[in-house]
Amino acid sequence: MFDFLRNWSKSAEEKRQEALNAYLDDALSPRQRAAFEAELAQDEMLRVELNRLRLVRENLGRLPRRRVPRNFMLDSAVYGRPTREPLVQAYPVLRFATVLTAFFFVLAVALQSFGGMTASRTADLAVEVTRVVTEEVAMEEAPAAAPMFDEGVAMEEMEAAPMAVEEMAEEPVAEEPAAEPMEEMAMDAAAEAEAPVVGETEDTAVAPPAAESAGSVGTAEGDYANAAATAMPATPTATPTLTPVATAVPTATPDIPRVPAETTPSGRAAPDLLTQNGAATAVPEPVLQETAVPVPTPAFPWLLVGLGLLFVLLVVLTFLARRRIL
Amino acid sequence: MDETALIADAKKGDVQAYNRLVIHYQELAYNVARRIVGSPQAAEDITQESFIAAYQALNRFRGGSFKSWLLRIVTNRCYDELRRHKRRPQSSIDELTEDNESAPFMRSSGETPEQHQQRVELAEAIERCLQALPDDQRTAAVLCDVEGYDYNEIAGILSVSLGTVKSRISRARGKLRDCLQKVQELLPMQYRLST
Repeated sequence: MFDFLRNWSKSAEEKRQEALNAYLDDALSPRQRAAFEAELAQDEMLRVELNRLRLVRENLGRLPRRRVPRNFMLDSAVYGRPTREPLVQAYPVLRFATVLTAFFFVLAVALQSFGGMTASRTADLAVEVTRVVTEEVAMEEAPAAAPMFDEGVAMEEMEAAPMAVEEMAEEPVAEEPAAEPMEEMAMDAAAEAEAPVVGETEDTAVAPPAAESAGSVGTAEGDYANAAATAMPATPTATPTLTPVATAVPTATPDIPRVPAETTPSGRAAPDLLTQNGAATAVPEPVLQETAVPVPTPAFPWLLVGLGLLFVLLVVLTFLARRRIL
Repeated sequence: MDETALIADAKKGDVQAYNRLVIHYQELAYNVARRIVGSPQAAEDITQESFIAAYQALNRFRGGSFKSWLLRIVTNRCYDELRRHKRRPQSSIDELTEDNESAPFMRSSGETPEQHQQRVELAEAIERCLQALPDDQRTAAVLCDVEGYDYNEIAGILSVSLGTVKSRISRARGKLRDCLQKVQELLPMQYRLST
């Protein structure tokens, strides 16, 4: 590359002189030589210059060899074995180790990237499954907490809920017309909840808007969504999919009057109060925030760091050993 | 002389084996040092130091041309010496004449005293022109034109690229040509550049 730069900055006369000397020393390639000889045949001045340079070279070659003024032999009594050079002796091993370490380092980085993606997907799936299970538990506990429901209808719907969840898991678009506004509300609530969370780590930071929305939204599904939104961790990888949640409680409370949600001392929305005949019944709050899967951490960061440091060390040692080899 | 076997023995601590290598290459090393630094005393010191350094670093030698490896040490020592003194070494004409007395070049059979004197003057003019060159160009010219190495060998000895060698030799010869043209009246007719 530096030769290219040097050639680029050379003048035409310099290039011509170099070609002339290279021709004189038989250092041109056959193609270059043929081209130069063609030029030489046409240029009289070039031939004169060539002869001058040939004379210079011959005169230099005629310089006498000097006699050595003395012997330069070493005294065996003074000089023992040549200095040991462990770094130089280990040069082939160092070079091989450097290549090997580089290979494993790249492999580890690749596995890290691939593993990170896989862990993220696994975390999403785990959140979704956990949510479904939690909803099932909540739905099972709901009739016990509110026994005054029409048990026949409620049981049918409760039984239908897991199936709906499964269907919705396969096909996120809601089949029931009522599920769409619920889903939208859930998404809106989630968006509200997410917005202030950016840059924060505590889930309670989103409590006030969630509590407000719990008081204003007229359906329990919206409250579930708010609760889910408050439970969402700050990191996007653990953000659960809300679509199945909204459809998990499809029509259990279409015309049940609701009591405005209270706010717990911790700032979270209080459990929904579903009333019938003036009796308020507490519905257990889903425990989604407790079951959120933590952010997947790198599988082996220590390995990456170790390999990186080892690689740098080996590169330095190999470079030093190479420099010592004359 | 089995150079490889001698080097292997020397690596094991056989100084006598190394001394056989020294005897074989000492004239080459001394002449290269002498042409580059110009001073016979400095060239002598450089040659001795180079052989000592080469022996001590013999375990760093990993095959190839021992001659090129040795000359690399010699030229590096010459550069060190030139940097150390920051001056142009001066050659003594008397010393040059004395050295040349025994050189085959100066002891041609049937040579008249006048021809002998012309050859001495030619050698002196070339030496002076050589010493007027920049260090790197002088080294390249010495290795190429005086010692007869090809471009690839010189690139290996000096640890520079082939393009750099070409450039240095081209510039060195151009300056030598100009220098010798100025003193061509002193040269014998057959050595004059204006043909």
